[in-house]
Amino acid sequence: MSDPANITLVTMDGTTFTVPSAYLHRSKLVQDWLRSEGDKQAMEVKHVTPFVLQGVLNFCEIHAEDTSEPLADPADPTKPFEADPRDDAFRGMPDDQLLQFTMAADILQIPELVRLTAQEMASRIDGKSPDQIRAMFNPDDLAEEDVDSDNEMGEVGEEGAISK
Amino acid sequence: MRSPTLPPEILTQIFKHVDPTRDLLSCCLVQSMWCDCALPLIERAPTELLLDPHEMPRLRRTASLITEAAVTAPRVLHAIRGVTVNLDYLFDYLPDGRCVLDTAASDTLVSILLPLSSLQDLHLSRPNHTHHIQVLRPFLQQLSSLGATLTHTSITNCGHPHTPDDDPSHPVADFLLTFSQLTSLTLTHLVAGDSMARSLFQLHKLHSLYLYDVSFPTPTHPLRIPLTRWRHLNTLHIQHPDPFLQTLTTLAVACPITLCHLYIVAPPHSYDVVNPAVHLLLQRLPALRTLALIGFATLAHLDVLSPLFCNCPQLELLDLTDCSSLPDHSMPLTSLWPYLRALRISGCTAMNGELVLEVLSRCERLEEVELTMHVGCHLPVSAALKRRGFMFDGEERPPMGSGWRWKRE
Repeated sequence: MSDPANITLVTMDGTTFTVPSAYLHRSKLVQDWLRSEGDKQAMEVKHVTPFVLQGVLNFCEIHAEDTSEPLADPADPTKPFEADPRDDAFRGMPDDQLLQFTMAADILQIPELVRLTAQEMASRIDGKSPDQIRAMFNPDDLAEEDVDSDNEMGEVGEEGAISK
Repeated sequence: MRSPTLPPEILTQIFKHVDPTRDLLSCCLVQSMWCDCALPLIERAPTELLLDPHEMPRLRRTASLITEAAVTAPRVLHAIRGVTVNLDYLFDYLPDGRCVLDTAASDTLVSILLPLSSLQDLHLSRPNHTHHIQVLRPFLQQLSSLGATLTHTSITNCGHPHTPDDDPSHPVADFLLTFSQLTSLTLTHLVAGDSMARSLFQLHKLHSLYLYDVSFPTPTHPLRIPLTRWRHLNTLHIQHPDPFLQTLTTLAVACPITLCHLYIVAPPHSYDVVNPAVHLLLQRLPALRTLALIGFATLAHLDVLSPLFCNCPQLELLDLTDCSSLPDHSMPLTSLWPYLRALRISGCTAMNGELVLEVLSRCERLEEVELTMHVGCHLPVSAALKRRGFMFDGEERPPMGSGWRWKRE
């Protein structure tokens, strides 16, 4: 039986992180898991690398005591986005890392982090031509990789990127 | 360094934060899946594509994207259903003081708009109306082919503020003539002359007409005849009609009897005696579901509204806000409205609560009442409202001059 005050998360390569459950109160995935399978030893987060999970947990720790209401929709137009200096680490991040964080936020269903990373990605698209965006995301190559990577689900990609 | 493949739901999340006026179009042209994710957002926010010729580099980029889309992804062009164009920046002043069309900006705008073969909503805005409207004629003429698909349009400030632009004819009026499918038209801040009247006359498919601060100073009053031709007209909003009395009189003889929603906001400080015209008008409108007569300061006899009590069984909303001389004693009620949902009589300072009490006792579906303060304070009225399950909506004691809104739980 796991400690109800803490939660252990296991990444794709087996690395474990044990943090107070309260840090992850904004993660719908974790909250659902705690309700249904909270008696298990650890929650697997298969598609997230240790580096990215560490960053996500840092975000959750920084915002653990925020009193704002949880976001239902990351793109809720009635709740305008306000830059928070505590999140500056995401702003200087390389594009590929930021994408991994966007995906991890979506997997863990943390609307506040989804909004932060999506907003940052959108600002990087700002003013770019289709060619410049292609160079940034390289989606055509990635579309080919999609087919190949189906057989490699869960493997760590080059330089820590995720192969889905 | 490789980036992870972005699933559609992540792309959609990112695109929701992308500037729809510029960058969403770029995203559409990146890759097929990107286009799939971005197109619904373009379709859902049709009027967000603001074309501002003042920022030429951005405008040229949009033109280039449109050209690229025409070749590689025509479905993008079909998805753009609405465009807002700020016309103010199409005007250029020469050193000698003459005002001419900025042809570079005009050509770029035309190259963006013409390929949009599914355009339905076009909003032309001219915030600064000191420029001469005739200068726009070549630009609007080039856009005439758009008229075949447009169903909704709004035109702001496209007329001189003081005199009608009828020399030789109003270019916007000529432009409107091409709108064969138009069902909704909004005109704002316009002095309409004969040519505009004739154009309005041709829009026989109109379903909704909104005229805000539009005046008709010439003898050919455009509402005199066309209203009878607009047999599909369902909604008519007129704010600050000028001339006030003539517009009402015209409506009274020419309004289509099928009209369902009528909103008239009287011009400020108007003391025209409008009682006979309003009475006649209401006699002609048995299908009314919404009636708003706002700021009719000289409406002084409840008898004027008697056609409403007898002839309009489908009425759902009655708004008499700021009809400050209208009393409610000796009401000529013979029957009342079974479907009435809202009654608004804030600013009706001559009323003492009889209308509210009568409506409360007869209209089972009433959900919202907005009262002037002294009526709201009237004990029998507030007691009756509470008995029927109404609660204050908002501040317990709103500021002086504002309405007291009660809503049923």
